[in-house]
Amino acid sequence: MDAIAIHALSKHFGSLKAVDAVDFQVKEGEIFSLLGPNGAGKSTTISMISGLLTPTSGDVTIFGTSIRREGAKAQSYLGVVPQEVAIYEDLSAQQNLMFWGRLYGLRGAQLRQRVDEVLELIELSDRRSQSTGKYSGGMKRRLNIGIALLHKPRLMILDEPTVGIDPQSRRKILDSVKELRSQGTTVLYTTHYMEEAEELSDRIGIIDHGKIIAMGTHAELVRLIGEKDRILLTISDPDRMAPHLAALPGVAEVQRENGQTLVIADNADSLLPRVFQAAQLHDAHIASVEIQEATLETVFLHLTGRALRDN
Amino acid sequence: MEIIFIALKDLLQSVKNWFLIAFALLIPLLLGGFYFVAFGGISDGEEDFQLPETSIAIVNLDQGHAYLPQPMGNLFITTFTDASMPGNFTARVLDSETAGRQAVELEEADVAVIIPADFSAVLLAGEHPAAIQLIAREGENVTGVNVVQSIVQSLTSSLQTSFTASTTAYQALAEQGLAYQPITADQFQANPAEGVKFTFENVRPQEEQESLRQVIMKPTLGGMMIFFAFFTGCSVAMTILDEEKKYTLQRMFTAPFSRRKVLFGKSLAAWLTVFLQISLLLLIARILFGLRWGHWGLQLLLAALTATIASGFGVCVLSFLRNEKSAGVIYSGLNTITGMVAIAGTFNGAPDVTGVSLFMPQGWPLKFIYQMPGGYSAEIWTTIGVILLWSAIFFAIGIWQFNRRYRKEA
Repeated sequence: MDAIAIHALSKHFGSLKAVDAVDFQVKEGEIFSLLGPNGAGKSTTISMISGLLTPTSGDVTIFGTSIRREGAKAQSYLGVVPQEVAIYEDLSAQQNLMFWGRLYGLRGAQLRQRVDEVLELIELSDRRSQSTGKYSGGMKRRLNIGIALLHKPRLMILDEPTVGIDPQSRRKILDSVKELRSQGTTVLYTTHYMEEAEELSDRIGIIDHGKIIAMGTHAELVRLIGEKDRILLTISDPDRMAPHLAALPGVAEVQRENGQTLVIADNADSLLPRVFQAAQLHDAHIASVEIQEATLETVFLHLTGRALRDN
Repeated sequence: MEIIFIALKDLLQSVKNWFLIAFALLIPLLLGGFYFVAFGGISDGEEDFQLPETSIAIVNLDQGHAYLPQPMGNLFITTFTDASMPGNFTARVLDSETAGRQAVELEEADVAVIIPADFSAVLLAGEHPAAIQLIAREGENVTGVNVVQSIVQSLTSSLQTSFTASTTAYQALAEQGLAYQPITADQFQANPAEGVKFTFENVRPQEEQESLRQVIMKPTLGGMMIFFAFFTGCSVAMTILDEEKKYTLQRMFTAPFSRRKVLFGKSLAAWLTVFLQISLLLLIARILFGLRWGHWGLQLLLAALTATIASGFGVCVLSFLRNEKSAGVIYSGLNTITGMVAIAGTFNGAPDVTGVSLFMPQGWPLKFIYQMPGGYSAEIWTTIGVILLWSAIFFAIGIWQFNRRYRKEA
């Protein structure tokens, strides 16, 4: 069963089509990322999936339950981490977790146990009684995620959870998302950081102007646009070596670039051993190697004609 | 259960909010303390308290009755001109209502006591009430006038009780075939104060001094309580906008229960906060200032009714406001205007809440305070009904408007 199935989902605000007839499915147990620039429609899509916004048309089913027809039941499967830090800063972490846990139906010993476990998980046990207003941005972000984890949801929705935090906290959040997947939780993750999407995702949907413009695994997306890998070599006697490298199978082109040799190929990983063999065979010395795989940035640029971060 | 959890969470946040506590409890008590010091002092040093100079014009139109040696209205003249009256109370007798009125209007008297022509006849017939008119200039020498009013009421009440009892006794004797002896002048003059006795020593006895304090302080502190209760109601209701700004409201909307429960939870929080505020203020005022508000059941009812109308008002007002910053200014202004209009009479020592005050939501809980000493009267049930009606209207508008807003955004 699909964790999420979205059919012709649209949301219009007046004449603005924030989300326009979007279709996609998220399989149970996978991490699916929605990648797109700010204003692309990621948060609006998430808001409709979580029941915060009612779609103008189309429907969302969560584990087979329609969010429009059986909203509360569908929402009970969800743990939602909003983009904004939605916590009570005049309450402690423990008070926050107790309150949200109760709203999700946890009671008594079970509630206390889950609060302890989550505090441990988000590494706030030591500061559980401190007012969260005194927390750092990263700690607030972790608590923001912890709240969504309390009731052990089958589906976690994280809307740009790493915006505006330090690298250390960001790393902790990314690791905890991977940990969720290892526990069998399905994750829907939105971001405009392509590195995060690349690192975390089983599949990625690229969204722009309210439409899904491409979807698949990282490799599928790269293949989709015919983008090739690039190997940047610092090699002795580059002019003599260029034709030998160009003759290797899988090499599309060899170029000189700032004193280095750029080899453009279908697959850098499989080509690299042959590059070293060729260098040895022709008495050349390789001083450095840099593999530049085709990135989602390249894919986005190819599909939209502009860079992700320019938006 | 979600409603209760949301309400309790808000209550916890209110308890942690020192600004709200200061506003809800300390300021009304400080103002009450100010009046307490002004009208009697904390040390119970009634001997230091001086009644203001008060001139009384007595117009005795009482025609008397065949059974009576003299009109009962004469007792008022005797009382007010008695040497036991404090020196700063002076009384003179005038011969017509017009003269009494003129004396007040020309500021020759602070209060005119008009005893009607049928006063004795009404009393003897056992009818109620014996109508005595008090005329005073509004807002002037409130304390003195209240003392005169208190004396007149006390005297009238005693007279009526006494005559009702004697009439019943004589009628019972007549039914037994015993001679019916009308009261004689000797009998009456031998003990003219029987059941009518009125003593006025020193300034006033302890019990009546307390009554004076009640007259002055209760409406004033009551007015403050109601005034600030409405601020609290709005302040707690404003957490709806505050939560929206901080995205916790949206987060609640993604939880598996209806949005209506969120609004009911927030409304319940406002109700609980105001209920606690009023209950604590009543209790503290009783302990600190010795104010007796009335039957404990009525005090609880006052807290509950004020909480209902104040939280309803808060939800209603806030449902029309979107921006948190402007909301604070608007609800403060609205509360100040309606509250001041409603409680203005309490500063003038008005004996009841009437007129334009009753067009303000604060006016009705205040009227309830005035009616509390009378117990569970028919009038107080009317007031309860009106408060509940106002509250229902406020809640209906507020919940409808909030639902509309969040459904529209959804």
